[in-house]
Formats: sequence, structure tokens, C-alpha cells
Amino acid sequence: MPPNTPHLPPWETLRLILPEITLALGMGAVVLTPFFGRKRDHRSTVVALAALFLALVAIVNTTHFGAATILGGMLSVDPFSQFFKALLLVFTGLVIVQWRSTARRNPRPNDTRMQDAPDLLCLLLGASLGMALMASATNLLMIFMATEAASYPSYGLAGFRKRDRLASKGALKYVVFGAASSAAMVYGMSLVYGVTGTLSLAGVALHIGEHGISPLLAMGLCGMFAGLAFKLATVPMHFWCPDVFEGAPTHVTTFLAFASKAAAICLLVRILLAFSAASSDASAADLGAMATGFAALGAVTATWANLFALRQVHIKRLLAYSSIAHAGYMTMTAAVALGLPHGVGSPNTVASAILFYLLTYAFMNLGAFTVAAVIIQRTGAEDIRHYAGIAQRSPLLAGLMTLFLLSLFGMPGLGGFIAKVWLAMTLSGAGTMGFVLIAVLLVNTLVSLYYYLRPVYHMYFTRDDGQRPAFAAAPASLAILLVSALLLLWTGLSPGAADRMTRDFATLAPPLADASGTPGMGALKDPGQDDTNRRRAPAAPRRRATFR
Amino acid sequence: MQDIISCLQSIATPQLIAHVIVIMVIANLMLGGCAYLILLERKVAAWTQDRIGPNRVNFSFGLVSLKSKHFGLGQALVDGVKLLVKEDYDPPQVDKILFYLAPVFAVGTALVGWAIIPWGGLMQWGDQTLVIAAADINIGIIYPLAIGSLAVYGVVVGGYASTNKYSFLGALRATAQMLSYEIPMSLCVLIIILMSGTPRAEDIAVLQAAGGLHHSWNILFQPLLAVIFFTCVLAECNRAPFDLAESEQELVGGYHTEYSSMKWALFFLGEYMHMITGSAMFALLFLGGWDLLPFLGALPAVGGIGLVLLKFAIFAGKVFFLLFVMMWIRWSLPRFRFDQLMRLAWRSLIPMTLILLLASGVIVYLRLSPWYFLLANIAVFVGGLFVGPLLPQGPPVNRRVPLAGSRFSPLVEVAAKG
Amino acid sequence: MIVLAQQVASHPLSPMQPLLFYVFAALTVGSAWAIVLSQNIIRMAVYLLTTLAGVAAIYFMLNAEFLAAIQLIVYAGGTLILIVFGVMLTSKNPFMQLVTSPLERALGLFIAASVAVMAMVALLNSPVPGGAAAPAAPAGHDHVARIGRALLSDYLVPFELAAVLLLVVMVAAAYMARRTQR
Repeated sequence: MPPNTPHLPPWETLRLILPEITLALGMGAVVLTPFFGRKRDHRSTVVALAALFLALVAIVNTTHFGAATILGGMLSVDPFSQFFKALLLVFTGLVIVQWRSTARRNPRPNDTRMQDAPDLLCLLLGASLGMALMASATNLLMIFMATEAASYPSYGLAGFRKRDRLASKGALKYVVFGAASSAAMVYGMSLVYGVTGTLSLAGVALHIGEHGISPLLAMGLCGMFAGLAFKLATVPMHFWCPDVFEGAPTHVTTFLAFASKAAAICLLVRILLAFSAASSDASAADLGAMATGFAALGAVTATWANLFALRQVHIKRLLAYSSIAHAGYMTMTAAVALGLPHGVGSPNTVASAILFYLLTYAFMNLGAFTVAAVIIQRTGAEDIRHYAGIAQRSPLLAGLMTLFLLSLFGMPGLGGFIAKVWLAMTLSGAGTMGFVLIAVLLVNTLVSLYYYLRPVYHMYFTRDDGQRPAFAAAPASLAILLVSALLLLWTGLSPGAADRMTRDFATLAPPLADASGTPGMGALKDPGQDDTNRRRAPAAPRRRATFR
Repeated sequence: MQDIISCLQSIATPQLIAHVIVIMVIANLMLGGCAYLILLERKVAAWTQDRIGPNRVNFSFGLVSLKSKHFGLGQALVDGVKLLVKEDYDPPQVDKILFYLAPVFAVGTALVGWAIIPWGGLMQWGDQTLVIAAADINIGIIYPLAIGSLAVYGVVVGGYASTNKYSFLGALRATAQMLSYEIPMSLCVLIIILMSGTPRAEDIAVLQAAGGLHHSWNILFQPLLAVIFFTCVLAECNRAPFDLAESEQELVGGYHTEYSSMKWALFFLGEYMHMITGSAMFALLFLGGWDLLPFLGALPAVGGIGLVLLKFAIFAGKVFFLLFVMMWIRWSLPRFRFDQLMRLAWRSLIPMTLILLLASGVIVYLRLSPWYFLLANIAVFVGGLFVGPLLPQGPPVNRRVPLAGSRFSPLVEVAAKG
Repeated sequence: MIVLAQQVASHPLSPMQPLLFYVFAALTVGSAWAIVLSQNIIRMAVYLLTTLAGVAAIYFMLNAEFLAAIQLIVYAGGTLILIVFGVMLTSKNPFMQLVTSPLERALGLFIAASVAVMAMVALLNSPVPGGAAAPAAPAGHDHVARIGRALLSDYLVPFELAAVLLLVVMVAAAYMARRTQR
């Protein structure tokens, strides 16, 4: 099958978007579960996990296909997107398991209750669907719709503890910022459309390659990327992140910390690679400026987040700033994509570095938040200064938390280290700018050591005043923790296999190169039947086609 | 000079002149008609309540002495004069800008809503065919929906600006009511567009008037849909039994409590013009527009000035009949309670229209005979009769509250128990 | 006069067009200013409505009638919701005034002015978008059918995604609005 086929037979197209269809159907099924029987939480969880599993199977079913841009250039289904989708689905499934195992007997009375399971799961699946489509979108309209489809459920999830003032505050901030950034995004897209006359990413890239970036187009692109920057929580638009993470239930925080940022970074990589693929001498300077802009954005984000993280004592806020910093690292790396002319269509170093980073980040993030969730469930401690004595009460959890935090920092021997090394190696391909970025990465990593070690310090070295009972994680949480820890150790100690895998999957479908693949305008411009004569000769009225 | 003449000639096409004439005739007819609709309303109310109604004021106006009372037809003019010369009082607390803006919304939307109604069908003029309507736009019957969604602002803004809690409650009720009833109304219009294959008003009328077994008035194919649409028109016009926004007994007139004189009258002008527009829409969508009798195809689609006038008369007759039905309903039925109002929209009208939309889509796709629409309507109606009672009941709101001293819990019993 | 006549010859209603355009543009921009300067949330909503209606009128003038109608239906409904929310969010006193501090006002003015200047500079320094941008659609075309066809063929995936999105949003809204105790 040729890789670049806009018009596949419908059956093939259907198979390629079957994962998304499965997710959507599963979402509908989850909504319907309360109507059948009483054990709504149990059933809806089973249905949701089944939908995720089936979608995963459907993704595996597409991996042999290679890369294709389908549906007239709306979506690209390629190894890069399928790898991310598989990771996202596994992650979502594990988050659901984490929620099931930590939500029972939770001391916080207004945390997610079991009978709200259908709503929670519906929103989780809906958000996953949007994020999966974000990773595939190659049309401005699709990008916008997918981003919105990822955002709206997230707003609902952020405010899921609806009686909680903190949650409401976070959710409201999220919604208001989100609405503003969506507006910026769609306005930017309209400018881009106005200048380039096409909605397809490839068409925009071609236009940039031919004509460079005019000031108007630059404004449009700024607006468009502002929407993405909001999802990534890069610096001028990161305010929502700590508040949302603090207010939302821990499982939601876990989900948002990885999924929303990962989807946005995948989309960013896809857009930037498309731009760089179509670059020419005319646009090289403009794209270089754009690359510098993204590099600066990433560097400032990482630095800012790390500096603010130093003062955090709330574990979720701390991890929120940590996630902002990680998004900054990845944005820096994505910027390099603009400088690489050989980007699209071949295995790609930027894409593979990002995929590797996402793989490890998903699991260290999941691990750290799961430990935090277990600690909240068993002791109610959200402030890391209240972590005193946890090392005695539950040595295993303390050890695992240490491992995850050190991996987030980038301790050699753990997956986080290798991931950062890969980022640095990718950055080193970008000349002077790359070396500056590596320095930024290094300094930031060192700074982050301080706040990653603070919970560890409190767990191990702060005296606990009283002897409180030991506790352990529920079996399911423990399983998640052990799987994550093993995966981090495996990627850290023998990164070869994971590296080969991410390199294999780092292929992006070249977006439809010809701008005529742009759907829509053709349909409107097409003269079609001339209706203007109807006014002159209505004596013979058009018969209802139906009534023959 | 030559330029100016050619300029004028190219502007003043026969079609444009036709539009202008229609606008001038219809707008004035509607404005004058509204005064007489109020008289009719009072007459209908009187007949319903076994009274006589206004019958004294003739056209003498105290200037000459006339024997005949002219059936009280002078009343409408006198009322108009009264409203104009009454003191126009602004309560001190009101939000001035919005207070003045609200009647503008009410009348402004009413004045443009009827633009697409094809009163006179098509007219042959030389080698041209003129559309005898105020405007001939592509989206046709979608346009009144768009304008109708603006109409509620008169009520809402007026109710808010009055700074009066009764007005305010009326405005909030109107908001919920309008939002709820716009949905089934739009769906009805959508179904008609679907089965006609065009949103253009004139084409819809022509299709229904074409004659034969397969081209007839839509009310014969979609009787249930017609009933639903008429219900929604009543609700959108804020007419009883849907007049919760003004319900005199609880809200002292609701949104217009604080209004007086001509500003108050403008609200009523708007309401009656909306009634005319709604009736005209109903006549167009379901009663064949200007068609004389179903199945016959009696009137050709295009004709001369005589045919246009005949069509206009038929159309106006249908509209007049529908207006009378509206008044008849108003003085016969009691007002809904608010939860009943919401339940009617969300639990019966919207699901039924959605199912009808689906069924109509299938019928259109399969190119079946239009009589299958009738079958679908009957099926939905019968199904609704059976399924309705099986639906889960809502929360027990608005049950009888045992207020001490009310007729459900008289004080005597309380005292006896105590 | 000759220019006028030429314009007229090219389009039967063209002398009216610029005039109407400026009327509606003034309505749009004027009410947009009024939104920003007003301090009462309901008034803002009403001005927003007139802004949107002005935009819809401009769509009508561009022969994009369907778009205009949808703009009115969707945004008028949306603004209505806004009014209700404005009332509910300020439930203690629905007639409340929103007071902006001078600093906020200055900051907002500065940001808005800089964005406006940037936009103007960008607009003036960019080549006029060429043939890519579609001209005003010709009158008399069956836009509704074409838009419907485009939505169900080329834009099927975003269209369906919008449906799914609405379902999710409805679930979230129902969850938020539900009583906690059951």
C-alpha cells in the first residue's frame, strides 16, 4: 500500500480510524450503563476498560499499515501517532485502575464517589478520544476540533469535586483560560486560512515554504500556537496548571499531567515537522526565527517552572510545576524539528526522542501520582511536610516514591535519565542554539533535584512525633507501581530495546503534499448546477425528488 | 444625466419594485391589523365567556352623531389614540438604556420576521417572473427561526431593566421557555426542509400546491408535526396557555409590569405581529401557503396580478383563521404550570420531533411515497401514548404544599389536632 | 458620477452596499466598545448581542445567508444563556456593577492597544491575500445544500467529532448540575 493515499477504500479508512470509533462507542456505552442494573460503578468501569482494550487492539491492527494520510487530509495515521495513542490508552486504563484502588475508603468525603463512575469514565474516554485525534490531526479544522474535544472533558474533570472550593477555583481558571486560548487559536487559524487559503497543514506548510512568513501569517501562527501552548502549559499560559492539579482528584491530576501535555506536544511535533519538510531558501530565515521562538519558550518555561517548584510544599502542586518543566524540555526539543530538513517521512530523531521521553514520563508520572494518591488515601497527607515517618510506616511506598522522583529528576540508571540524554543528543544536532539549550536543560535538571528530594527528605529524615500504624497500597495500586518502576528500571538500565522501538515508531506520514487535497472549498467553489435560473423559470417547479 | 437614468433603471428592477410594494402593503396591513386583532381578541374573549364585548364605539368619535354602532369597530382606533396620549412614565429605578431598548427589540424583530413569507406567489411580468414577497433569500424558512431567536430579547431585556422582581421572574421564565421551545420548532422546520428538499419558502408552497396524490398540504402528511409546530408557535409568541412570562395572576403582568403608554403598546404590537408571522409560517409549511384546496392543484404557480391578489386573499384567510384559533385556545385553556411547561417540551415534543426527523430522513432516503410520513406520524403518536406513562417520573416537585390555612390543610384541622 | 454608474452597472444594489456596510460595521464596532466600557453584566450581554447581530448583517451582505442565520440562531441563544448565567453568578444582587480598578483598566488598555497596533502593522505590511481567499459567494446559490454536502463528505470527521464532543459536554454539564445527594 503506498503510504500517501488520500483516497483509500472506505473499508481501509474505517479500519485506520477504528480505535477512535471504538473509543467513541465505548464512551456512549459507559453513559448508558446506569440504565441497566444497579452496580453502575462496577459495570461502567468494566465497559470503559473493555473499550480501551478494544481500541488498543484496533491500534495494533493498524501498525502494519505504515503511514497514511486519510480522509482527504484530515488525519494522518502513522507509527508516531499510533505509538502515542497506544501509550495514551494504556495510561488511561492504568489511571482508571488507580482510581478504583485508591478511591475506596478515601478520607476526603467529597472526592470522586463510586456512584459517579459513569460520568468520570465518560469524560476520561472523551478526553482520550480528543487527545488521540490531536496526535493525528493534519488539518487546521481537525486540529481545532480535536483540541476542543480534549479540552472540554478536561474542564469537567478538573471540577469533578464539585463541592470543593479549590476544585471549583482550579476548574474555573482552566475554563476561562481555556476559552481565551481557544479563541486565540481559532482566530489565529482564521488568519492563517485567510493568508494561505487552505486549511490543510500541508498546504500551509507549502505556502510558508514558497512565500515565507508574512507578518499577518506570523500573527495567525502565534494565535494558533498560543492555543497549543495553553494545553502544554508553557509559561505565559501556565497559571491554570498548579491550581487545577491541586483541586482535581488525584487520578484526574495523573491523567491530565501526562495526557493533555503529551497530546499537545505530539501535535506540535507534527506541525513543526510539516513546516520544516516544506522549507526552502525563501522560508529558512523565518522558520529559524520560529525555531528560536519555540526554543526560548521551552527554556523560559522550564526555568520558570523549576524556580517556582522550589517553594511548593503541596505534593500535587509540586508535581504540577514539575510537569510544566517537563513540557518545557519537550518544547525545546520540538523546536529543533524546525531546523532539521530531513524531517518528515523517514524515522526522525526529534520524534523518536519525544516518544521515548513520553514513554518514560508517562510511567514516572503515573508512579509518583499513584504513590501520592495512596498516601492521601491512607494518611490524608497532601503537604509534603506531613510526609514525616512514611518511610517507617510503609518502606516500600517510600522507596518507590524515591525512585519515581529520582527518575523525574533524571538519575542515571533510570528511564528519566536516558530520556533526558536523548533530548540532549537531539538538541546537540542544532548547532549553537542546541548547545545553549543543553546548558539550560542541565542547569534546570540540577535545580530540580532540590524539590524532587524534598518529599524524600521528609519521608526519611523528618522525625515523626507519634507511632502511627503501618500501611500499604492496595494490590492494584501496588501492581501499577511495580510495573511502572520495572519499566523505568528497564528503560534506564538497558535502553536498547525501548530505543529501537521508539525509533521504529518515529515515522510520520508526510502530509498531503498537494494543496488540492484541501477539502471543502472545492465543494463551495464548484459551480455545480446553476441555481440562478430558478427564479426565471419557476413555472416548472422542482419536483420533490422523494416523491417519484 | 444619462448616467443617472441608467443608474436608476438598473436599481429599480421590477423585482425590487415588487419587493418594495409588498413591504409597504404588508407592513401597513400588519400594523393596522394588529389594532383590530386586539379588538378581535376582546370579542373572542367575550364570546367565550358569554358576554358581548366592545360594541359601542363607532367611527363618529364624538364629532358627528351616528345611529349605527359599526359593531364597535371604532374601538381599535380609540385604543390606539389612548395609548399614544397616555403619560409615558419611566419608573425611577430602571436601567434606562435597556428599558428603552427592550420595546425596540420586541417590535424590531417582529417587523422583519415575516420577510420571506410568499404572500402572493409568483407573478409574470413581461419575460420576468417576480417573487411577491418582501425578500427572496436562499435560506428561506430558516430565516424566521433566526429572527425568532432574537425576539425573546424584548421580554428578557425588558424584564431585567424594569428592576422589579416580578418582571425579572417573568424574564427568566421567558428565557427558559424560549430556549426549550425553539428546539422542537427548529426540528419541525428541518423536517419540512427535508421532505421538500429545499428551504425556499416559495418552492415549499409550490410543491404543496402542485396537485395530485403525492403533492398535497403537509398537514395531511405530517399532522402530528403540525400540532407540535403550532404548539411551539404559541409558546414562542408567549400566548396562553404559554404566557408564563406575563401571567397576570402571579407576576402582575411580568416583564411589562413597569411599562406604560406606547412602550407598553409596542410589546403588544410585537406580540401580535409575531402571531401573524407564526400563523403565516404555519400556513406556509403545513397548509399549502396560497393554495386553495389540497390535491386539486387549482392555482397555477405563476400568473398575473389577479392571481397574485387571489393568492394573497387565500393566504390572508388562512392566517386569519389560525389567528382566530390562537385566540380560541387562549380563552379556553388554563395556563400551564412551569414544570409542566418544561416537561411538555423536553419530555414529549423534543423526543417526538427527533424520532419524526429520523423517520422522515429514512423515508426521504428510500424515496417512499409521502403517505409514509402519515404512517410515521401515527406510529409516533400511538407509540408516545404507550411509552409516555412508562417513562421514569420526575422528582416530586410542585406537589401540594400543606400550607396552613390553604384549602388543602385548613386551619380547623390543625387546631383540632393540636 | 461615472464611477457610481459603473459600480451600479456591475452590481444592481451597489450604491447601497458600502453605505449599509458602514452602518453595520459601526453597529458592530460601537457595541463592541460598549461591551468593554460597560460595567453591568447584563448590559454587556445585550451589547454583545448587537455586536453579533451586526456581524450577521455583514454576512447577509456577503450573500452568506445561511451563515448569517446560524450566527443569529446560535449566538442569540448563546447570549441568552450568558444573560441567565450573568444573573445566576451574581445571584446576591443581579443588578450589581462590575468595578474595574484604574490599574486594571490601564493594563487592559495597554495590552489591547498593543495587540491592535500589532495587528494593524501586520495587516499593512503583509501582501493582500490573493486569489486564495474566496470572494463573496455569488447570490442565488444553494448554500444550504452545499454546506450540508461538505459537512457530510469532506468534513465528516470534524462534524462527527463535534457530535461526540457535545455528548461529552452534556454529560459533564449534567454531572455538574446534578444534586450531590441521591
